[in-house]
Amino acid sequence: MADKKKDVKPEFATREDVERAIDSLSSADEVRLEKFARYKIQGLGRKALGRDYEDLFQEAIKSTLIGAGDREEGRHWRKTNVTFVQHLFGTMRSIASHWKEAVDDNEAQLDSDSIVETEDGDILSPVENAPSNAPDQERSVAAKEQLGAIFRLFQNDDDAALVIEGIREGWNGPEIMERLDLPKNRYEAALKRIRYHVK
Amino acid sequence: MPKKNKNDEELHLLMSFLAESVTQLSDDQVKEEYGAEPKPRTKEILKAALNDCAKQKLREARTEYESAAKGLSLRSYNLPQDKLERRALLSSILSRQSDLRSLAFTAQHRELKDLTDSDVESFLRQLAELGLLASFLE
Repeated sequence: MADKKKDVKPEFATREDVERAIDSLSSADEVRLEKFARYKIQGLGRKALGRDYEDLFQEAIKSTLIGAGDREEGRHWRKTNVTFVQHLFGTMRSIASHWKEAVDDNEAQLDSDSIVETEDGDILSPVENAPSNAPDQERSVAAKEQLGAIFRLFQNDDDAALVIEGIREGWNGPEIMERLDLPKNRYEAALKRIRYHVK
Repeated sequence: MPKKNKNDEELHLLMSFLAESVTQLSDDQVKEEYGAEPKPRTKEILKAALNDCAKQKLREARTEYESAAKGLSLRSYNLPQDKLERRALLSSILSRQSDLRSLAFTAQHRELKDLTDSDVESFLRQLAELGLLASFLE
């Protein structure tokens, strides 16, 4: 609707703001954004469906531009509140999360579609009842291999292996340090080594 | 609801953790950790995405216009079959609605005789679409 455009609040960035912000990115910002996007895509694994970090950038810009022209659609960069880099981090987090959820929902749908009710009223799920649980195994192979390769990288690095264990538990940085009794300098050094090897 | 795949989730946790850790790095740390790597193409990719979006908007606008124009040409407006009659009709409309003449014709087409038969038909269709033709056809 035509009125929507007029309603866009002034604090929402325009296309020109976005263009200027891209031009103004520092080299450190460029690195942070690239590494962030690459890790987000790697974290999606097979759920990325062939997309790469450039696709994540593309989608983030597209969503930002939509938000620049419409207060109800896309992602709005509130330039008075957050930097462009922070905005892009947030937008990419959200997009990657949506991509992951879309695959999760689709798989949940596929599994529920295969559930059948017997004459006795029992619920049978071919996926859950398969002797080898083969579909789950197939889905998991790539992630399992990737995780295995990462663990092998740090089999002789106790601190890094501990940090990875903590991350797998779903702990945050301070929790990892506290629960594993890891001093901050050793935690940070281990995380740096993990980043160095896992790219 | 199927259980979430453990390996997928662990990989996701690990990579998300690393992604977030990168956002916390200072400029000096970035330089120290990644200074030896080739320069990233971030700006280039973002600018290309910006341009792609602009082109996409243009493509959408063009498609929308072409679709509307096609719809206009396919619709039946009960116009006279004969091209001379169509020209006469347009002439009659313009003589009775002089304000339309200035709206309709650019400087080089102020004279009806300068319009092609196709221009005449197109203009009549547009008038019909705007609901301005019915009274003349009655």
